[in-house]
Amino acid sequence: MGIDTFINIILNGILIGGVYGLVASAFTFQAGALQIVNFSYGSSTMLAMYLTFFLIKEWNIPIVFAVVILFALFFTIGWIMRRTILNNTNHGTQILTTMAVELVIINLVIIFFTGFPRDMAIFEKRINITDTISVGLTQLICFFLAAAVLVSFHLFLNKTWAGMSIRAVVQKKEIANIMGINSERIMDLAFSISYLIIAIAGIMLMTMFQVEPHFGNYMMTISFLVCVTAGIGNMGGSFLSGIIIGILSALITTLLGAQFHDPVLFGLFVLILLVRPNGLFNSSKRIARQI
Amino acid sequence: MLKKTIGTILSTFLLASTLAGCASSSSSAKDESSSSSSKGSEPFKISMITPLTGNNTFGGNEFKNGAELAIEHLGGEINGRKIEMEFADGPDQNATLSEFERLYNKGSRVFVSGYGSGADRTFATMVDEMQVLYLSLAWDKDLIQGKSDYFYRVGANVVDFSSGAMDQAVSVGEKYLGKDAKDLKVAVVYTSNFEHIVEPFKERAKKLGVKLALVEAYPNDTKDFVPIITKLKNTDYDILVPFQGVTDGTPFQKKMHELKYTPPLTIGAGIYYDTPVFSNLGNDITDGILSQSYVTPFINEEAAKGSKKFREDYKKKYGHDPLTHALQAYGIVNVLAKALESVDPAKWDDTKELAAAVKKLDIDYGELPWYWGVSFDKNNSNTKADKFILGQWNNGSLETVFPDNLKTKDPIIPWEKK
Repeated sequence: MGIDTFINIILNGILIGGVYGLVASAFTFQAGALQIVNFSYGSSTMLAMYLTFFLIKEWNIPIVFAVVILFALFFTIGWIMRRTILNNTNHGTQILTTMAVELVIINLVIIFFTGFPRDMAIFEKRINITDTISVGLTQLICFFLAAAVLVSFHLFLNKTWAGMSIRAVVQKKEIANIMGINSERIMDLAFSISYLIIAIAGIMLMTMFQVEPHFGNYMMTISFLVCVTAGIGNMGGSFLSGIIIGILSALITTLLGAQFHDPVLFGLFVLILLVRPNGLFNSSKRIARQI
Repeated sequence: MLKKTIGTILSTFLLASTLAGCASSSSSAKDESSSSSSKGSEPFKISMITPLTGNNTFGGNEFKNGAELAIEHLGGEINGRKIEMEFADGPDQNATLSEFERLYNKGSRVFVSGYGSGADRTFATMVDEMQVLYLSLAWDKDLIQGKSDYFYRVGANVVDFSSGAMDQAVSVGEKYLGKDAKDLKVAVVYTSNFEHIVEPFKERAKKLGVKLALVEAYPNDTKDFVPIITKLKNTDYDILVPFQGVTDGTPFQKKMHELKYTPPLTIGAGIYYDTPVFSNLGNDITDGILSQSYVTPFINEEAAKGSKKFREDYKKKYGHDPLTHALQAYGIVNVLAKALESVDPAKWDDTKELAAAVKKLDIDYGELPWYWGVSFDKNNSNTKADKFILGQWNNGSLETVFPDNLKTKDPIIPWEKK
């Protein structure tokens, strides 16, 4: 195998890893900053993919309107979930209820959309960097969009009143309340925004992959892997961690064989946790102050 | 005190209802047995539970159509007694089992497999006790464990299919690539879910001395196929054999197309590569690809009696060409018909006698429209459902190109991409 083959593999890993990073960032925001354990995260991503497919391909809704509908819908879903089933700080209850929500989503998708795999039938164009090295155009666009979304979210949290309120509530709820911030309302807003990111991730994933009702399991695994490897709550770290996992994943398949992918990748995950229990990008002092 | 009284009343009520239920079921059983003597003149029902809703409707409906047409071609009767198909919807295994129970309670005693045959493994363990005759198309090697008088596997088994794919690769290698088995290099890619299907393929390769240049068993949730395709690009091989389903076959083929990579020769091992879903990827991707299949309706007309009539009448009746699935259902109803012909119609309701007639069947290759013959071994597995065809996609159609006695066209190897 030549050097150009390795460059192709690594570039592919970086681009896919960036999207993994975006997918995981909302999960890490929910779990780390908002202290909400959402096991319906993967199936919510899958739902966003199915809705993207049906809105655009089956119901022929113009793409701009489809995106607006998805955003409105996911913002509302996030708001309702936070106000109802996640209005409980007990992590055990959160895990059980969101696992049930996951089953509800999967089965509703099967009932309404059938379990048949759906595909946007987009053939990706390749951009040739040299005669032997190329990258996928869709992947490249998604990578930069993912980066842009994360940077925008970072700016939102740091530069806007709403973002700073979220940070204030996350860091010290009682003090934020004294300062006149309605912490419950702010938590609702923050959770709804994390669902907006899920909608964006779902749209991007739908342009790259085929979706079926259990696709969310894969996304949940990837999100968990990326989030814990980076350090729970570290959104910038998630993006980098996603890229690392994308590259590792591609290299393991290429060098060792696809049959070794899962044991080696998850073995490395265990190793990282043993050596750095707080994740690759979190120091113990910075835990819970990541956003 | 009040609680105790209510408890006693409820218990009494429940006990009374249970006894009433038993009495009613035993009286209905009596009714059924008393009416069985007059059944000889009633239409004889053959039941099929097949997916008519859900994900597998295309195969389920093909099965329904094939069985319906078989009854029509038999004139709706055999030896003067009417025969009818009875269909029920089985979108998944649980629904299939429930429908089986419902039909059994309604008096159905003869069943043929529907599409997917997912519940046949369960049926194999229960039909003897229920004295239900079941003709199966399930392909699991260990489907029938031990002696059975009522359960018959009429279709092919997975070991024959999988090792057959290697035999096809060797035949193509010898005839069209000028390489004998010892010089042939094969790459095989598959989802780890198919390990049990691929194992006989690998064993056959070892026995024939074929070199497996690349064996990639990827996790079933693999989404990124670029690394595997890159490995293929960097491997020296003659034939690629993918064992894939819709969830991995479609993204795999799409990605190869996007990366502008065409393997020297692809022989898809059925499952996905001979379905309309694969065909929907477009001629740019599918043209030239070979696929091993069960026998299809598009074989040499001389080789299988009635295949042309089946094909033409099917298209006339249902408006599209039949798939191999329709032929499977058409074939299995015809096998049952052969057994019915050999028994006095008044005795058809005696499933023991009918099952014995099935066991005695001896039909040669080519006598039935699906080409396969019938001869059951000691485990009631058909030993003459072991021939497979190789089709080649050309402009959206799958033409039979191998073996020589069944082919309708010569293969184009190597295929020049337009």
